[in-house]
Amino acid sequence: MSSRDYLGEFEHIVILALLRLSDQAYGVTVRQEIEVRTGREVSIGAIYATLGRLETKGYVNSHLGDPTPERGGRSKRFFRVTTKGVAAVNRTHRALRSMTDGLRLARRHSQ
Amino acid sequence: MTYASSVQPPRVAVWLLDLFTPYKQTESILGDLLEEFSDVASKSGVVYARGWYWRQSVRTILHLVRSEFRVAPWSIAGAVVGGVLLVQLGHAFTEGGIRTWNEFLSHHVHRVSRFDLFLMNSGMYLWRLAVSMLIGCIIAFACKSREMLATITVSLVCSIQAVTGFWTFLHGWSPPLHIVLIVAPLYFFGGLFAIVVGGGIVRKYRFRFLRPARS
Repeated sequence: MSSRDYLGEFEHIVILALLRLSDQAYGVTVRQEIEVRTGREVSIGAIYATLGRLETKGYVNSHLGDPTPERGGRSKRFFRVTTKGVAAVNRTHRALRSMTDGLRLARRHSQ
Repeated sequence: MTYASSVQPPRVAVWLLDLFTPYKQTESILGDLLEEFSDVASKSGVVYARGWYWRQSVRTILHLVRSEFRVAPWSIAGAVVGGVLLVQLGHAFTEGGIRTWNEFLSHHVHRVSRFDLFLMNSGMYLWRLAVSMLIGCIIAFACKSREMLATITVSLVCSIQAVTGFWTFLHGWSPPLHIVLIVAPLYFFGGLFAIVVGGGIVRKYRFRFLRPARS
């Protein structure tokens, strides 16, 4: 298994946001979900650059919705995590868990 | 229509985003930003919303540019090297051609027409601009969805030579003010802008034909 099979930190966060949002995952909601849950301010460009990379890897796919007037007649691009993407999340979680197993991070941090 | 939805985001920022975002994402990025802009404007006011839109636009463009350099460094490097060589060749041929034409006129034509005079005086600048724009179009055409990135990078690389040339030209003599302020900058730096304009033209035309299909 190569290192490419694991998700990067921000890729990981974005895929988890997509999984949380399910059918309502598009640029605005993904950005807001990440900001609310992590307190990290991200630009829409960061979201799209990451989603583009994940789409190239086959971890997510996307489709355009209908144009809406509040968006100036522009469509939303909805994203969904593929089976391959879910497998990548699980693999990354397992790797992180095995790396953190037995570490007392909270105690070390407070020392 | 509500007040917030009738307020439009800064046009220049929208225009820049339109130029720098990948075709497939342009519509959704602009739509997402407009949706959030209306929301921010209704909550915090138009002035704050405009500032927010500018911040988002700049960060988005920087992020997408950085991402493009990371995703395809070799194809961008190839386009830049090829583009710089093309600029050198294009300018050398243009200047050589104009000089030859001017020499031909001064030796063989006794009554020079107004058009010939215009060409002798301004031809070099105009041809240089036209050739630069054409080269910008060629680079952009070869670079598919990275038109602006490639042409701006070529322009920045060529600007080193332009600054050196400008400095050498002015150094050691005191030219008239209009040459320092208009003629020399147009000659040395006009071509750099023309390359980027060429990239923008190709981008606009290509975008018309490559609107994403609804799937």
